[in-house]
Amino acid sequence: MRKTLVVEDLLLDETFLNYYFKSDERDIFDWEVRLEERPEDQIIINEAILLLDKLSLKFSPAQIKKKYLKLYNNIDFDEKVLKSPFWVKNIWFGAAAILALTLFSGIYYFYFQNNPSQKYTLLINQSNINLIEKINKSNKPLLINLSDGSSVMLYKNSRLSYPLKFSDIDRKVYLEGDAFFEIAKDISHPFFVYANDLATKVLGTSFMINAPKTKSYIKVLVKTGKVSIYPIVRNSKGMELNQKLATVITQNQAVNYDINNARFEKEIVAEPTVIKQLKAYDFDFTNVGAKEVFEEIQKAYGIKIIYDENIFNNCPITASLSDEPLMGKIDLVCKAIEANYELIDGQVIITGKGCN
Amino acid sequence: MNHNTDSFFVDKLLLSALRSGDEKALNHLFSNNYNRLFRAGLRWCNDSELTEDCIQLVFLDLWKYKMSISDINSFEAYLMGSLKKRIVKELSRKENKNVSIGIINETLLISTSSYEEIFIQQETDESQKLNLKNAMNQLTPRQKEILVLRYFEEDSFKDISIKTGLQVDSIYKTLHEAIRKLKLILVK
Repeated sequence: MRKTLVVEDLLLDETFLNYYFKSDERDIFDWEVRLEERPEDQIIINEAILLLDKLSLKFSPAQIKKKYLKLYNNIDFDEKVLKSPFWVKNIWFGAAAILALTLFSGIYYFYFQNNPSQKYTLLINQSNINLIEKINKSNKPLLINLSDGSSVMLYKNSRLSYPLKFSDIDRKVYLEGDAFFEIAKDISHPFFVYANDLATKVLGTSFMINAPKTKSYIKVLVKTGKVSIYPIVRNSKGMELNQKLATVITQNQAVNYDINNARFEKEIVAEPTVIKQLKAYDFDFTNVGAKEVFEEIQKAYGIKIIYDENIFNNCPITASLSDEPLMGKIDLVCKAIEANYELIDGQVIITGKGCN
Repeated sequence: MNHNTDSFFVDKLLLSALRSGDEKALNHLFSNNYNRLFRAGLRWCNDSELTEDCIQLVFLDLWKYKMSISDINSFEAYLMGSLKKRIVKELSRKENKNVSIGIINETLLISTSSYEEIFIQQETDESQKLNLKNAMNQLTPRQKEILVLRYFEEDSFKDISIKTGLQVDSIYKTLHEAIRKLKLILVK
């Protein structure tokens, strides 16, 4: 007869404590598997975790947010930034490459300052669909919504070119700089990001690409799902993807492509647990009001959601939204609270009867 | 004691984002590392207020000097190092003498009274605070000691047995009693 799970037992169970404190890989794995197989245990386990958080003197996320606010208010964001010599920024090269770079970097530095990146320009010129370009010069990441529901967070000093409406065959965008992608699943239309001599192909997943303008590498980090990466080859037919040299990376893997040597270096991330994404928000909700969910989404994406608090206040939501792009998140939430949404002028408007 | 879930690679991305003035990267680093920095700081100086002030200063400096930091292999290690230096500096200033970093390197066991104080302080609800105080008062010194060793120091039952000289059985019994008393109050 299986004994029902009780909080005291968990707190005395060495394997559970190893799972909580992350001190034993095997125990972490076993408990994760157990949770998947017996989701009904989640409630008791959450109780145990809450108790352990207090006993180990952890501050709650809400408390930490307050402390961050204190820090935030003490920072002078307009203060003149202490500039460093540009070669300090080249931290991702091996020793040999650093030597080569310091010989040529004087030239490259000034050259790329005055001319748009050749690679990016070449790539967009190859496109036979009309493209829109968004450039982010501001300090805050820029949110871009694509016609298929995917969302892109474009970081500072980066640009993205994309079609207003994707073609019937596939979805192609062109990146220079840094961006975090959340791609809507569409198996019949693979999604490609072209950047710095590499094309990253995805079906539906979330990942980060760093394709700096003045460097000869590109980094791809996968948060969820799988991507395949192909070097772009220029030949008599124009531009092609080198299928033979393609490499696939999945969750918890990262790859570094050295353009000069046309080589992939795969890195396995040491921890088996999910890589934390760069946004400091957690989209897992258990029985929270619709208001809190909308607040989180607004803060994370910097968009405004307009809804009637009185109508939707009592609607409880239990959902895990972190793998969805922005519109996917809103779609799911609206389904849960039986509401409709419209995107007007960059704002989301929610209408419905509520749940009373 | 390594809880590093951010890989080497993610740290590089974070540094890059930080340097381009992305405040969200700062937020991420702050939120992810706060608890472990707090606990490390407590072990170094046994003073929760000083630790929290120093953490604020460490992140202020991180933001101020983000352009001139060179290679960071691990933000966790970097922040821990910065915090230690900062705590030494502040302690020296406070006590008006040079606190040697060598003394701080000994991992002091946090005293049970400090633990109790912070445990109660972290509760935001005032009425709960009183309940927690009462609950704590019902625990024996031995119960409190084992609570600290198991849940704050993260010692295994075997290690606790070595440190206290008690049998593992008796440690389980003691801890079970302590949790039973606290659970009634803590789990609403």
